Amino acid sequence: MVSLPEHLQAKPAGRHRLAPEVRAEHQRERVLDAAISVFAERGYQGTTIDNIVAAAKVGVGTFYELFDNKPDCFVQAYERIVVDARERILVAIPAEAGWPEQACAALRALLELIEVEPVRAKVALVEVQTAGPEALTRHEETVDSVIPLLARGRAQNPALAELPSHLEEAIVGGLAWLLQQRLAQGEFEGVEAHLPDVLEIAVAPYIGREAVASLIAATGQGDSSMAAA
Amino acid sequence: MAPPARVASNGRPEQAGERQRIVAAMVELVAEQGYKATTVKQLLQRAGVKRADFRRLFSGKRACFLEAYEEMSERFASRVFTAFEAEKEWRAGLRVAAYAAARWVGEHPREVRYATIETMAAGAFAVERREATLRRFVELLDAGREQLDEPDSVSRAMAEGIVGGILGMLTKNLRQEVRARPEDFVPELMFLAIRPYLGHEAAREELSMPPPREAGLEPTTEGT
Repeated sequence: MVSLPEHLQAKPAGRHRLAPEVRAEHQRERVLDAAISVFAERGYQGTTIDNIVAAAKVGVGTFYELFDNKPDCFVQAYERIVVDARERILVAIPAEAGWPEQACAALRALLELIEVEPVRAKVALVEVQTAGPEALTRHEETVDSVIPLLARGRAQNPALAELPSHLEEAIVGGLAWLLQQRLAQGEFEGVEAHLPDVLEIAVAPYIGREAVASLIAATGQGDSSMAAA
Repeated sequence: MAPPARVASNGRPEQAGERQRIVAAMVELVAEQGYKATTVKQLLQRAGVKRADFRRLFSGKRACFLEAYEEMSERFASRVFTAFEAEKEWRAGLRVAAYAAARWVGEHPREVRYATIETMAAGAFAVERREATLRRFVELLDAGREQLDEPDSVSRAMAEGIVGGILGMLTKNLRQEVRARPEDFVPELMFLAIRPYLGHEAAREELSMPPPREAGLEPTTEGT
């Protein structure tokens, strides 16, 4: 009989425990998720550490094991949201498609994420602005990380080689502002309401308006990638 | 008792002077140490004003911060809108306005910092005020829809996205202390701004359009 590896073998009767590092990571995620809810509800400045630990049902000591202070907690919460969002958006991008379809899929996935995770969206797009310099720096980095992905659109059309160099900076900045405004005003109305504008701002400079209209028609069919996830 | 008029039309120069000194002190102190570290006591000392006089003019630190912000943003907006309105055509007006905005931004790095970094550091109350200001500029751009055969074919969100992008770019590059002048970005920003309303060809023309003559860009009589 083949013997099982040690970690799969039956252990003696008694409490089976998760490895300490796994338990610690679960706890960190739970506290971050609670912090995210509180930041969204009370705003960054209206949130206290007491609010967070009460929502997370942990002691203050636990908070300080995980985070240096409130700004640090926010930055970690922000990173959690962004890392997760990146994964979910990447999954939605069709590997074999051309740039226009990929850009459309990514932007659609972003809007879907905002639609299904409004609390996280508010923290990552609105609250981040007033959460201190480190949070702001991370946010600028995140927004700017989209620039190279957009810039690939220039290869779509040789006539576009002369497009100004800061085009992508202005596009991502404008998109971030638009989404932030909608969320801050409570006026985010869903994927279908905002996708045409988002594509007009981000994709039409590269491929033109008619091509964008075709894209929307084509990729609107089929399963929503977020719903299927 | 109603607060005194902003302009001392009632001939009480020391009140107008006090308001200006306090506002100037706020801008200076925030530039030196940020909003949070700035106290009313420091404001009083810097402005040479008594607390009772401060209280007569402002309900507190927050109100004073907002007042200073409103004044500088009004000066900026005035410069931009004046430039826009001097032209008959929307496109030309937009170009002149964009250069006016870029030049103001280049000439007033402290105010730009106040309106961006310091506003965010101050908190949501200040950010909301700033967003309301930026929405005024959306009107300028959104007027481009009248250029279209079908004005409803472009949404107002387009204008918002463009304004957000433009102002973000002008101020971001300043914040990062990059050596480029904001005016150098205007052709690119005009490309982005014009494209949804006048099409790709017209947008491309903007890339090689020279800056307007200085005559169109003098500061308003209110000063900068």
